[in-house]
Amino acid sequence: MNFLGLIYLLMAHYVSGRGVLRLFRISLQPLTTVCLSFIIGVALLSFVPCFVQLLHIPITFVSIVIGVGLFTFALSIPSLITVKQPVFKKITFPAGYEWPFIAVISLVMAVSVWRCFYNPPLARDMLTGPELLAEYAVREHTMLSSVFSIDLSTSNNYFKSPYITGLQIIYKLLVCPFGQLWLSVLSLSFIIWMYSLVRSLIHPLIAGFLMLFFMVQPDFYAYTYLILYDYSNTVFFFCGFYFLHRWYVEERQLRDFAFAAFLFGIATYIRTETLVLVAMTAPLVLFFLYRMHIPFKKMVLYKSILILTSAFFYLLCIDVFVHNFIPIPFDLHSQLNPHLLDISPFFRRLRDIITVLIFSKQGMKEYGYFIFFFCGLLLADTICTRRFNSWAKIALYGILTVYIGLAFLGYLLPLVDLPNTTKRGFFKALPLMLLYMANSGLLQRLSGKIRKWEAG
Amino acid sequence: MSKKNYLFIAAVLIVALFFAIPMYNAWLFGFIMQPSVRYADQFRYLDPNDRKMMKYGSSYGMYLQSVSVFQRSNIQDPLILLPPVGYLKDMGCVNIEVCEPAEFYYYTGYKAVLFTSPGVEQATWAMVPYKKDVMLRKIHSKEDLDNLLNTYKNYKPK
Repeated sequence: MNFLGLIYLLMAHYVSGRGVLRLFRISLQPLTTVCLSFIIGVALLSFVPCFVQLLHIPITFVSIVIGVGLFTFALSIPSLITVKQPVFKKITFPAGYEWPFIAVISLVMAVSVWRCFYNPPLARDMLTGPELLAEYAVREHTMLSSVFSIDLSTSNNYFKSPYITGLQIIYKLLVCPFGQLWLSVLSLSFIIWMYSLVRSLIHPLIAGFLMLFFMVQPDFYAYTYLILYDYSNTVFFFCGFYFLHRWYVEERQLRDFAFAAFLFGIATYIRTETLVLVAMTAPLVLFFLYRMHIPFKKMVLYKSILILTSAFFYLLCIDVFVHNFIPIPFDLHSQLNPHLLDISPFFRRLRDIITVLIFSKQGMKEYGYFIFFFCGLLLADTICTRRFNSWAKIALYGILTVYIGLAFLGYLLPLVDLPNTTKRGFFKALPLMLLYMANSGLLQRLSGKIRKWEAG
Repeated sequence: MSKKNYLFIAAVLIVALFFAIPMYNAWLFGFIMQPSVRYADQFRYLDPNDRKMMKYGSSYGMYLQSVSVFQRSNIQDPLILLPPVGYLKDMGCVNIEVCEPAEFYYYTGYKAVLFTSPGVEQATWAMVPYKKDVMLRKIHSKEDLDNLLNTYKNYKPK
């Protein structure tokens, strides 16, 4: 393993992500800034091999190192222009009673990082798509490799976003032969950020328990080391909701809204179907705008920013990258449901998500008791407290969006099957469920009592 | 004892009780702590080829062994006809899975086709069962290829 290459890429992720945060003038807590910089930086660097290819430069170690350097420099310009004297805030370490949770979470994540490094890419969707393309791009120094001369009739995975292909090329050339470690950068940053977010909302003892519960969902955990699109998609979709909340409740600045739109855009770039889910956030945004007494013209501007940003990333993925790098025609119409007037598959999928995917033996094996706990808590809150704060409302809206949106996608695109695409697509609801739990009326009451007892 | 200590004990108890739940207990102490290949062995086998062999299984090893004939005999651009899924198992090769042409190319670097693939008539070699393993044999004529294709087309999984 090339540690220097890894350090170079970690710096590039951080600096480019930080530059984008500065570009949107987003100011956050130091730990959140670091984690989000890494998260955004991972997605941004995936563009580098695509740009190298578009410029007809051979994909080699040197060209990728220079490409990453130049790309990072370009994205760091906002940080360089507005460079400030660094303020070293006092670091607050977790309390002693958080360490049992942190120890277990660290152990589980250490295993995840090791597996990410050690195991070769395994998923069939990768071996017949992005991983195959990346492997031969590295061997043949071009993304238009000999892969397109073989029989690809049994798969359509090569039509997927170049997000994973790009990152795999970079990590294979600069870090280790199986690539993949970018997923550890992303998942570690996300877990650390989630923990700091949850503990800022509720007493750390409860936060630790919720985080542990969230971490040990067997299937969701497995995707912290198995490269596929859904974990990354989940991270960016959640980030979009986080900044939507920040815009509405805390800042009310256009920059937060635009940043949320940008993050939804990245989620769309990773999985193009997310465009449908982003469009489904429109009623929520309209409601916010209405409550904020925004004039109609500005409402149109906000709506346009949200939808057009995701549409831009959709077109970037399909019309620029797929069009330029996949020398096989892409026919979206052939993938659409030919019987759109028959809406029974939509309702069938709504039912199947509940009965087959979640409340079943299989569901328990995949998500553990996490969703059961969420449902129980929601029911208890509805009966006992009947008070939902803004975080809880947004989280519930997001969960509903994922649930209905996935059923709609299953109806629209028959290839979106229940046991694979819908199952993994449902990951997007899980961090939103965690966010809801951290804002649950009952748990907030318990949190308040612990704090009072602790302080008294 | 300070209140922080009570909270620490509470946290330890929560973690212990959480992993006393059978499903989470099995997950942590089985799946996480004791994977199918022990961590000590994983540290011993760090070569990427060993790691591939451990993860992709016996089929992968068999594919590599089969195609080594091309390197040894300096055969250029062979196109391999793969049997239908399940065929090898039904013929007694229980440890070998048939993969897709794209996966085969990823594993071996050699092009392959299925009997349903476009361009199957260009196939020059065929992967066939041999005792409990597989071997590659040259397709000698169009008649030979047609015979194989007919066998595969008429094959019904047991």
